[in-house]
Parts: sequence; structure tokens; C-alpha cells
Amino acid sequence: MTPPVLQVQQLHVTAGDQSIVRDVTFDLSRGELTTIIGPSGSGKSTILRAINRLADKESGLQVSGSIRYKGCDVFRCCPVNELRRDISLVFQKPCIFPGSIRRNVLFGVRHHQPMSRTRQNDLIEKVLRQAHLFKEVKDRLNKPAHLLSIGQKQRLAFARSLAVNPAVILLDEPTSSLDPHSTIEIEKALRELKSTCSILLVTHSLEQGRRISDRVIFMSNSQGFGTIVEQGAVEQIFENPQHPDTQQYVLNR
Amino acid sequence: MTIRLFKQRIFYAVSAASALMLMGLVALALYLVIARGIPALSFSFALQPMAEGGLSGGVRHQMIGSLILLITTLVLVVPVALSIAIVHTVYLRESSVQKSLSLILHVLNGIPSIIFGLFGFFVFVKFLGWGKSWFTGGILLSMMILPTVALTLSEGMRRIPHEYIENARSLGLSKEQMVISILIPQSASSFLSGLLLGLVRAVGETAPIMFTATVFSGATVPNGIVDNPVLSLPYHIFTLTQESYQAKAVQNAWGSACLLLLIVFGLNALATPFRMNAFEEIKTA
Ligand SMILES: Nc1ncnc2c1ncn2[C@@H]1O[C@H](COP(=O)(O)OP(=O)(O)O)[C@@H](O)[C@H]1O
Ligand SMILES: [Mg+2]
Repeated sequence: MTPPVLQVQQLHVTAGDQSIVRDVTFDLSRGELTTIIGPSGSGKSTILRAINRLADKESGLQVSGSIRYKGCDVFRCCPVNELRRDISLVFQKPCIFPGSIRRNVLFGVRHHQPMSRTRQNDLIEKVLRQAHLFKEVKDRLNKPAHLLSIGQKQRLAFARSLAVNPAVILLDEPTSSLDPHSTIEIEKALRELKSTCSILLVTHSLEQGRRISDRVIFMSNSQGFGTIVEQGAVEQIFENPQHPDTQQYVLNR
Repeated sequence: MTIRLFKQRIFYAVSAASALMLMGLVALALYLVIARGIPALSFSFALQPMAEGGLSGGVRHQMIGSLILLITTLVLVVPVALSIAIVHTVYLRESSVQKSLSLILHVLNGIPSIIFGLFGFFVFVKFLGWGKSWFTGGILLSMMILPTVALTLSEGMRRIPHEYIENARSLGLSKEQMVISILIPQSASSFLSGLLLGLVRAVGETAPIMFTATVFSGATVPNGIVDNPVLSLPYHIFTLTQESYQAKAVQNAWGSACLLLLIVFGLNALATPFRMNAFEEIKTA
């Protein structure tokens, strides 16, 4: 068995003296898609933001515990800007930068390496295909990106994250406000990307979790802070949950 | 009629009357300047050098001097205001140092311009021994407008939705790269509008430059820093007005005032589209 790509151990996140999440421990392996499900406010987004180091660097939260990426402690030995290229985050609400679709795709990657025009074009086509957006926008790559529909914008933001060539992709409810077509395309994209990346997806939709996960983490905040109640293979969590909170949330009983 | 309605009417009447009065005064001032200035105004007035101690000729070197002061101010204030705003919004987020910096800028904004003149006189003219110099004028004017420019700019930067900054950071951009690709372009209109407003103030000021940078006659184009004053429109007006027993002097003062107003209106007109955020780039989803 290959060693996990990402190991989260005893993760605690607090805001002042208020715990947001406690005792979060899980692994992500290569070639697997893990979803986090759970009621809103249970700290799902906070976990993603802690892994990507937005929680401690940008939101001023206190993060303790350990997160190891390819064996190295992200709080000690990985420079944060390099870490974020390897572990990219797709936000719930797509945020499109001013300018063309092309400029948006290259927004992150052009700061990391100089590229010839041909290589740029190849990269744009590759990541837009991976994000299942290429067919819809191939004739208007130089048009303003803010004219796209919200579903297309989200796939563009996804492509922009893929362009920095991440090994781990974190997605925070990426389809929560999207049309069914865009949702299906993003799910297809995730299934295809699974073979090369580890994927951690937060979803509000149990259907989506059931459709595409390999492993599922169920979080709850019934104790006043977010914590993992149960985790396991997708069949186990959805067909045979052990914990009463999970049973209630998943089987609605 | 109820008392409340009555109070509302009174309030309305008083506000309307004061607004009208104020507008009337402004209109009168404009009318005076324009009505008296226009007869003196011509292309040759703007382009010819002064003669007979301001009684004839034009204001060529006063225009050039004011332009030199304006450009020096611009060149000095842009990098400083930019650095202050960036430090203020990016590096001092929510800290007590940030609040103190805001406070200092606001206090600085309220300092009367004559104080800058005095400060410059003692520091640059006397202590550093520069004598009167255009460069001192630029330094003082840029100090005077720095708070306005820096505060409008950091306000503009703070208005950029935080998600843009987070998205850029989450793609692995360093703070510096984020500043260059998001913060500066997205606050460009606030910057330009604040800058132009500041320059409008600077170009019309007499107090900071009268004993530090400008003379009434005997200077043309500077060829160094020490003992190199310039002529300038505001000081020209100031001096000519003191000689008001000479009809010609008064007429030329009005003419110069008219030119100064034209410059100010021009800069203001340039600032208007930026103030209305016509170039705001971010379109939220
Ligand atoms: N920066 C912050 N400061 C204080 N509290 C926060 C902060 N970010 C999130 N929280 C709190 O943490 C809890 C979990 O939030 P979040 O991770 O967004 O939950 P979820 O994504 O599961 O809905 C919420 O109660 C929220 O109010
Ligand atoms: Mg969330």
C-alpha cells in the first residue's frame, strides 16, 4: 500500500478561546476521492482552509496538531506559497478575476514559471478539458470571463486551480449553487482526476457524496465544536453507519 | 398641520436656504474671477514672460514654475503614498500599528499649510542651507497632500472584496505578487482620484511655498537645487494683489487667478471619471 499523501493528525482550530474543530485525524491517499459531509457549521470549510493554510495565515485562527504532506510537516518545513501550489483549494463561490478566460486560467501559474505562448495554449486547453469546460469556451478564450454563467465560472476557477498542477485538490461545496449540467460535468472531471491526484471534497449533497466518493468523513457539531464522528468506505457510511448521529444524518432516522 | 410636519418643513427650508446661499457665494466668486479675469486673459498672456514687474507681459514662467512644483509633488507623492497604503492594508492588518498610522495620517491631514511652510523654512531653507528651492516646494506640497492620497488609496484597497485576495493567495501567489496583480490594479481609480484631488490642492497653495520655494521675479527655469526658486501662479496673484493701487496689476492678478482656476478645473475634470469608479474592474459574480 502506498503511503498517504496527506496525513491530518489531532487537528485543532480555535478562534480566540472558541474551538471550531477538535481532534480531526484522517489520511488522504493517492487515487482516492474523500468527501466530508455534515451539517453546516460543523467546521468542514475550516478543515480545508487549515490544510491550505488560509486559516492561520489569512483568517488569524490558531491551528495546532499536525498536517503532513508527503511526509513533511506543513507548518514547519513547507514554504506556504509552494504548498498552496501543491494543495489547491476551489472555493464555494467562484471568484473570477477581471479580464479574459485565458488570463483567468493563467492567473496563478504565470507567477510560478515563465511559459512560451505555445505552452500556455497547450496548458489552457489541457486544464479546460480536465475541468470539462473547453468545448463551451474554446471559441471565446479572449472574451471577458465575467460573462460566463455561474456554473461555467466555477469550472473556470477549477481549471485555474488545476493549472498550477496540484497533487491534492480541496473543493469546498463547489457545486452548491450550480445548475445540474455544471454539477455533472464537475463530478465527471473529479472522477477522471482521481487517478492522478488526491481529492478532498466537501459536499452538502448526500447524493453527490454517494455517487463519487471512495471514502467518507462525517462531521458533526453536536458537542459545540466540529469533530469527526465517523469515517470509512463509502458503502459503510451510507449503508451501515455505526454512530447514531451518522445514522440520523445519512439515513434520516 | 402637525408639529412634526411643521418641524420637517422648517428644517427643509433652513437647509435649502443655506445651500442656496452657499451656492450663491460660490457663483459670485466664480463670476468675479471670470468677469475680471477674462479681459486680461489671452494666449499671449499665458505664454509671454512677465514684464514691468507684472504690470505688463504674461505669466509664462509662473506657469512653468507651477508645473514644475506640480510634477515634483506628483513624483514624490506617488511612491510614498503607494508604500504607505500597501503597508497599511497588507502588512498591518487589524493591528494597533495600523490604527496609529491611520490616526497620524488624519492628524497630518488637518495641519494648516502655513505650518508646512514654517517647517520647510527652518529645515530646508535654513538648516540644510538650500535657500529657496523648487525642490523644497515639491517636498512640502507632497507632504501636505500625502495623507489625502494615501488614505483614499488604502480606502480603495480595503474595498476590494477579500475573496479576491484569498483566491490569489490560495493559488500560491506571494503577498508581493498579490499586491501587484490584484491590489494595485483594482484600486487604480481611487488612487488616481485621490492623487488628482491632492494635486488640485497643491497647485493652488501659497503658504507652504512662499518662503521656501517661490519668488515674485527673477527666476526662470531652475538649473539645480540649492538657491533655485521658481515663479508660481499663486504667489504671483498674492503679490500683485498687494499692489492693488495699480489697475494693471489688479487686472493681471485676476487673469492669473482665472488661469489657475482653469488648471484646477482641468485636474478636477480629469479626476471625475475615476471618482465615479468608471474604471472599476472587478465585476462581482
Ligand atoms: N474566522 C473565524 N472566526 C471565528 N469563527 C469562525 C471563523 N471561521 C469560521 N468560524 C466558525 O466556525 C464554525 C465552522 O465554520 P465552517 O468551517 O465554515 O463550517 P461548515 O463549512 O461546515 O459549514 C462556524 O460556527 C463559524 O462561525
Ligand atoms: Mg462551509
